[in-house]
Amino acid sequence: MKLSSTVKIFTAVLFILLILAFLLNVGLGAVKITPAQTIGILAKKSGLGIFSDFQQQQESVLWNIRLPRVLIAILIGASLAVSGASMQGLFRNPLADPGLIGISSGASFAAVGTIVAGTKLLPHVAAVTSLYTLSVVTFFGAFVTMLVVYRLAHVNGRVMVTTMLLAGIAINALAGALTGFFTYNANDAQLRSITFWTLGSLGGATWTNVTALLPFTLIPVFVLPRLSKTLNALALGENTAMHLGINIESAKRLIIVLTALCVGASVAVAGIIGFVGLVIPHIVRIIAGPDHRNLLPLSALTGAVLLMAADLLCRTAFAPSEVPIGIVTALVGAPFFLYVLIKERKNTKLI
Amino acid sequence: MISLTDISYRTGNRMILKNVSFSVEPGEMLAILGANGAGKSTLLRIARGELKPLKGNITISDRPLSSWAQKDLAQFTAVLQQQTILSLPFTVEEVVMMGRYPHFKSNPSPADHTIVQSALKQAGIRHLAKRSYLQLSGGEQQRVQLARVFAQIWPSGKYATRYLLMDEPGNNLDISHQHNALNLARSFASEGNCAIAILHDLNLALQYADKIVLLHQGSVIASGTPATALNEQNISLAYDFPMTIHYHESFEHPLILPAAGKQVLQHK
Repeated sequence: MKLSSTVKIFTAVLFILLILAFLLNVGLGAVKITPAQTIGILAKKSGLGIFSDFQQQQESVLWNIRLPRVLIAILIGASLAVSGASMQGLFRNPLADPGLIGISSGASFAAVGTIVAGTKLLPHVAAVTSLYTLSVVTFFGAFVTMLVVYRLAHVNGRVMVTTMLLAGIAINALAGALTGFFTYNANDAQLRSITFWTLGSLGGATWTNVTALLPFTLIPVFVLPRLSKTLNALALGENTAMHLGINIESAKRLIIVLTALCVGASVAVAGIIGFVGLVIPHIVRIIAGPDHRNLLPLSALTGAVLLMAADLLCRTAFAPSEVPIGIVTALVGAPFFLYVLIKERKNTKLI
Repeated sequence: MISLTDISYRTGNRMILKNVSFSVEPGEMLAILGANGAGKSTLLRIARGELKPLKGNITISDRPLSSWAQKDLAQFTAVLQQQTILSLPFTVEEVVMMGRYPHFKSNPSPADHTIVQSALKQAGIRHLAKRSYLQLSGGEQQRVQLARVFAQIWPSGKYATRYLLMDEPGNNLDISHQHNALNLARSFASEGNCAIAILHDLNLALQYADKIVLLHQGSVIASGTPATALNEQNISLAYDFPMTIHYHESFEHPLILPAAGKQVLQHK
């Protein structure tokens, strides 16, 4: 494929923003670290200790707190954006998003339920609420919700988008009610932890989280773009895509599994971060066009940049207290979502 | 050659098709005719393997349809739908390039680009190449799809016979573009390929098709060359409307017209 100049410039700008956002995220906060010091610390950690113009405290803050946090922002931002773009392609609808159709709330309900019910039923088993258990549970929560929504929306071999969105509303309400029930029955410590799941935060970032998240996010980010041609052809409808020799069923399964995987894992690590999967593909489409061969990788980059920016805002806007990141993404994302609705209302039928 | 033998199809309790058979030899163009709900579209979908028949056999290029991998089939068989609604604002050029998807893995070759340009030119839509598909009129969209299907089965020498299945190719098109579309299908068939088209206009069938299949409530009530199979009795039965056949010295084929008012009353 010949890359258009717009796509080339956009890619270059995104890489610059990625580096810039990275340096700002690791540098800003109670302990300031300059870009030069950041490079020095990273060089030291990778065994090239030639610069030493930094303090021990800076090194420890960067390495133990900020770096895992910024890496998690990158991984989650990139994978949520890519899976949002893939789902929009699969469902042939620009409104599809893991949050909107209930996948995120299904996943977070699974986590909240496990925290509260798990400690009640198995009070002496600490493993019940360990990160790994919760990751597995949220993944299944995401996966089961995705399957339910997909089955409900599947009528006579076609995905009925209206049904899908309505099913999403119902599932969001149901998961919300059940989450509320568990919240009501939670103790103070559990409440704090539940707020984390339902509003989202990157505050708990550790290197363990980074390594746990790595496979679940990197696999979707690198595998989903391989389905670009399939997603493009799906824009013509499932039958026409089939006439073009595309194995739709296997692509569907792959997209559903990979999306559930990364949504489940990111909810497990950072709670619900809404609107990233919905909004970012739209921004990219406006700039670089609808071709999924550009859309998916560029969405990954944009997602990483914007989630880093959102997290920086969370940490610094009301420092020293932190705003949950889900609130920031919803505050920015929801108005944008309305803007897209109004704009698309004139062009195409969404539902 | 593509041949369908004894095809029956049912949805719920309703028989949509009853023992339908036909075959199309290389070089031939077949028109499927019949009233709304006669089973035409279902038959076309079965011919492409989109629906599994209740019973019956389908062979394409001497092999059972089911033995072909979708990927291979797509390299020499293309389908034009009545209407193709796009969910994303791809440009016309990008849509036509999708026709080449069965032929490349992730990036089109220079040959694919050349074919797309030729297909655009052939369909007379080169001026629309950079436009967004979503902003085109229904007729323009149909011409883009026509270019896409021809791009898909552009001659490559790899397959001796290629197949084009069209569900109302004239849908949304004005008269000149209807004739352009059928002329393209006609010359495609004449190059040694098979073309099948569902048509509503009987005169277009007379003018372009080598043979016809006339469906009535899921059964074939007439088949063969248009001039012999389409008699007044058959078509009046098929459409439940009195039709008359006229001959005019300046046309080499007969003309089919609805009967005049008086005859309509008699028919009722």
